[in-house]
Amino acid sequence: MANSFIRALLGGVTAIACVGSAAAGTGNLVIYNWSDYLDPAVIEAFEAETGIKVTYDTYDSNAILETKVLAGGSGYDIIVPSSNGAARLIEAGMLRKIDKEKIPNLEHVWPKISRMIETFDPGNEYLVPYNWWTFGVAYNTDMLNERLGPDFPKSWDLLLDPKISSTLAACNILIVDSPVDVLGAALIDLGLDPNTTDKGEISAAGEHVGAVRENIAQISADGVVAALSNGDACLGLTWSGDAYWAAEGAKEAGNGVKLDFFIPQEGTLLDLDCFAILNEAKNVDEAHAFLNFLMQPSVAAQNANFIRYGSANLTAQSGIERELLDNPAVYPTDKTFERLTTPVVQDRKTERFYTRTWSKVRTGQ
Amino acid sequence: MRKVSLRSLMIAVPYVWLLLFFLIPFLIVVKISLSDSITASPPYTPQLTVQDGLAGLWAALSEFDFENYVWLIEDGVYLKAYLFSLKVAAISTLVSLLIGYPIAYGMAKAPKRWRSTLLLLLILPFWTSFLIRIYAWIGILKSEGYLNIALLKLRLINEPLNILYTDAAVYIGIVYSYLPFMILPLYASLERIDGRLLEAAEDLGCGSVSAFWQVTFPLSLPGVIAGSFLVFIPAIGEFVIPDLLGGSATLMIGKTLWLEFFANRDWGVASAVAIVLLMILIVPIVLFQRHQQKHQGELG
Repeated sequence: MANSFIRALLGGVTAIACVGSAAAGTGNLVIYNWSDYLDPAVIEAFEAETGIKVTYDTYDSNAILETKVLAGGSGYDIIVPSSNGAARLIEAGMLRKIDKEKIPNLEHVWPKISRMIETFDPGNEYLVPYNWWTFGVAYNTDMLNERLGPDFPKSWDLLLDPKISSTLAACNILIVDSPVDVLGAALIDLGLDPNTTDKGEISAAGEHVGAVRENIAQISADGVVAALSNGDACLGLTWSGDAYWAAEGAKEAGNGVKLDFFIPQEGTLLDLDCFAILNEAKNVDEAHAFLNFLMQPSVAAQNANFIRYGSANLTAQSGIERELLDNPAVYPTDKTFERLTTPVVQDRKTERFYTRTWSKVRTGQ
Repeated sequence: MRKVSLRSLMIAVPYVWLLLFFLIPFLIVVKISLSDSITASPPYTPQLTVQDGLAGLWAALSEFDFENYVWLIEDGVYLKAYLFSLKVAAISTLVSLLIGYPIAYGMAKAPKRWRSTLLLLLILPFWTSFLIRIYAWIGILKSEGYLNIALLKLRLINEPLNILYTDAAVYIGIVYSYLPFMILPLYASLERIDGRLLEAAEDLGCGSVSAFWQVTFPLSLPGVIAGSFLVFIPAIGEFVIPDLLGGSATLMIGKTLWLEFFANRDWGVASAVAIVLLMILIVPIVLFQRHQQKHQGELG
């Protein structure tokens, strides 16, 4: 009795001092993740099993995450940057090397996926791949069949060929406000490297999108999903995960809107979200314990079934719903996979040039 | 003697406040605007550190340059964004005045027992979060929103109007949000007008229209000016309204600043944009201050 009281007291003290260890079961952990990107039941199970108290906070863009972290003193232990942001945080020296011995479940990571981050994290020393997705074309099946016939090309041409996109303009084309992805798609369509640093090529990509700018109803940070599921848009350039949620939203609303998604035949960008532990993390052991917990195949499968993204956990696939695994938008075939490229980090000048080129496209100037 | 020191202490409070919460942050922003952006934490260089002493300070100071400001001038986007923001703020102010004046006039002419209720009604929207009220406008203005449904039902239009994600939506949002700041000073100055002055004007042969222009309007000018500044100054740096209601072609300076800070992670350029914006705002703020002092002098 007295013992447990002292333990509780000590727990409180260590919690305040933030030096509790996972083994003692009295630690804290502060996670900063994308919104709706982790099954709350997983956190509860982790807390129940380890006694570690998890503080969970969310963001909705890489920009917010990076700005908070780069300003310093964010107080977070685990963050979930996308590949580009992760690469910059590694360069800025903000991330801590993962102690792989503390995460035996790393063996379940899908090598095909972890290979994609080798360019900026050789040996995956800083990052643990979480989910991956592609950038592609979400569309309203009925509206497109009606306007283009059933055999329309599964290609970027739907947007980038002015002849096709002008026939779709009336039913609204929306694209996400993401320079890397949209200009990357335009570069791929032009047969160029989506990671080019050549200003002439980037400008050409800008003009390529600019040429069909008048056919684009809106360039939006977060309006694409809703517009597609309401039937307000017939074509949306967006990420596979968003396309999935748009289709689910339409099903739930029962409004008769049928949506589908394809990865254009020319190829596209593949992006990943990775777990990383901050250098300034105060609960390093707890962070490792959490990642190990989440990487258990059964937990990873439960989580993947909840968030509906492509999981980077290969062993977990036996527990992932068939419907999800068979969806080529979420898990593309090997043949499609060969045409996927991961965005790399550009130097500041090139990055600024991408943003500026995109600004011109956005504002139609 | 003690009295004097207590008094100077009291006077010192606002100065200390301004020093801590305006001047020092301002100097930090100036410092960052003269720095270069890097990929690190914090993402700019040079850092000023106490440890390096005076020599380190001098070395850091010599690294400062006006590169970010040169960039602002060279790149036409910023000038366009500043000019567009000025235009939006000016038009919004004018529209607020045109809508606000009759409302304030009506309130001032209302029976005395009604006035406090009317004032309360004017302030009531502030009880709801600003963000939620702007979100509500999305529901009203979108193509299948309440406004279009109503207009279609009334057969005033045949197909939905495209208002959301255009500049028109930005004007509507700004005028809606800042209208109370226009009405309140207008109401204050209109209510103070001595009714006998109007009676005198009528006795001297003025019609009610010319009495308004010759007596009421000139006497309400302080309210007009105060209200206009209260709308113009926040409208020019407005970020949330154009971001939520404006289209992708709407590029105001607030959004430009956001893009530099978040998308480009260029704290240097973002700080330079902020400093230039402040410089632009200082002119109307000083004019406002002058006007207020003059006006108070007249009353005193």
